[in-house]
Amino acid sequence: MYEMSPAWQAYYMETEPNRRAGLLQKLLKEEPDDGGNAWRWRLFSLRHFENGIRLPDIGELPAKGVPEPSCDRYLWQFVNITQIYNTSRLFKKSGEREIRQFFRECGFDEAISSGDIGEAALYREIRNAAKRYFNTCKGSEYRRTLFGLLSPGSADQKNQTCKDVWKMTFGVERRFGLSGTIRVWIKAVQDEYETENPAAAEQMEKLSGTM
Amino acid sequence: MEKLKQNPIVKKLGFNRIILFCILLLMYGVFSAVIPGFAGSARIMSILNYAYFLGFLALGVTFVIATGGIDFSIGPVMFCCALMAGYTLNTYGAPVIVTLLMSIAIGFAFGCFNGYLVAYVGVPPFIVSMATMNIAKGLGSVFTKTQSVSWPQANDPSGIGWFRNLVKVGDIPTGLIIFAIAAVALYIVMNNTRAGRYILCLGSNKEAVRLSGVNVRKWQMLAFVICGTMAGIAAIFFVSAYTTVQPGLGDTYNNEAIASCVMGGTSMAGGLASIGGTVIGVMVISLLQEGIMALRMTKEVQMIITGLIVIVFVYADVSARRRRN
Repeated sequence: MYEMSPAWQAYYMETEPNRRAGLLQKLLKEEPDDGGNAWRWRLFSLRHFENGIRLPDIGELPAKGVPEPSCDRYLWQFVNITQIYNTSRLFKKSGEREIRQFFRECGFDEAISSGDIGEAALYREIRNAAKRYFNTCKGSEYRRTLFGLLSPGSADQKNQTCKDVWKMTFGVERRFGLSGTIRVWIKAVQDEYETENPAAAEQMEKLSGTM
Repeated sequence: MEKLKQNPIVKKLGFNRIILFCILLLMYGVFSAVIPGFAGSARIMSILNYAYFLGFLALGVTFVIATGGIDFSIGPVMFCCALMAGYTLNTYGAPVIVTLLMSIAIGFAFGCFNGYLVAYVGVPPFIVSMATMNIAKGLGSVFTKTQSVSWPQANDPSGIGWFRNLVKVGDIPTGLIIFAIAAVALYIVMNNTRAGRYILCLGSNKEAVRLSGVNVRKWQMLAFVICGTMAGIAAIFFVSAYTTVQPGLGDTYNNEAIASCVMGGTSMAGGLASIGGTVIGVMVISLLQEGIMALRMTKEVQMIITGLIVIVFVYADVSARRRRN
């Protein structure tokens, strides 16, 4: 269901937003539309611009080309949803509301309800954001311990990443009783995580029993 | 034990916080049994007097620790605020309200200074706060010409001792009400506002937050500003409960405030903070101080015990993390 045409592979493997913007512009012009171009642009704009860029035809590019991305709202949600899980023990409703709002504002609901093509574009976009997130989890700044004095070992970092991935996927699904849209989010994040950590599925199952 | 941890109520309240609360009750029970008269109201007031200023320090430093940083200057900054404001009150006859606001402003300025150096210049928090600790001590000494400063008593004939009502009016511990309001307000800031979310996320994965387009410097600085301002407020509660402030001191309170946070469940790696846990941690430390004093142990013994507690809780935090991993 989520197959990707080879022409778009480079676009979805690239994690640097400016280079992605360049690739998007080039591919939208050069490649024949498989029906997903409108969604690729729509999701890119919702991800990288504060309120997305609204155009009369969502497949049409802005006249001056793709502007420089100003933010990464999907990447932010990887950290934010983990924190929502951590801080929502007492007030579940507000956490659930916040996650649903993200799904709505970042085009998740829209893309999924549009059919398979929209859903596939969304899945690829989330995986790309997940790839970018996992890159940040390998740096020396990630989870420094003892008030920022000590750099954690690679094993500690991997374990922490695993826990964070569980919280932002199965954790919030279970805590808030979410269904529907979240399934694409979980699948994309988990699939990308499996490329980083082949034992991911087994570890997630273990965490589901202990968390 | 695992079954207990999975209990929905225990999960909601937090297993660590429940354990810490049980420790608090147990300690109170033991001290009451061993020390005659410990359960009396005078002793409880004394515990609370200690808890107020330590509580404000601990609540403030919780924000910095949540970002994955540390502030070792809070104790001396609190003393510097109390010294400079008190000296201005005594020497220049400034109105009490002005000197109290001055105390908060000095704390705020220290917070800005620390925050700017950490967030915008990129100096590690450990180094910055160590340096600021010395600056605060030196500044307090220079400003007061190395003299200790005495704040007016509640029954001062000129009526300027009204600020002591902040901790106690008759038998009503007003300080407890103010501290509770502050704790609730900071809980909301930490858990229900954009600022709190950014601060927690910074401790969780700063690089991802930066790449998301968030101004990480601004929010990191804000954590230090909150911490400094709380040290200024702590100074007000310190002088409301005690009379004399001596220059060159205050660093022992760093350990106690940080220990309160860590034992309350705030992670030393950042990203996880518990305001409720910090409050219980403050009560544990305050009770312990009072208990040690009631047992007629010296200040030095108190310092040894507090130091050991910090080591035990830091070790417990590190080993729990290893075990979980």
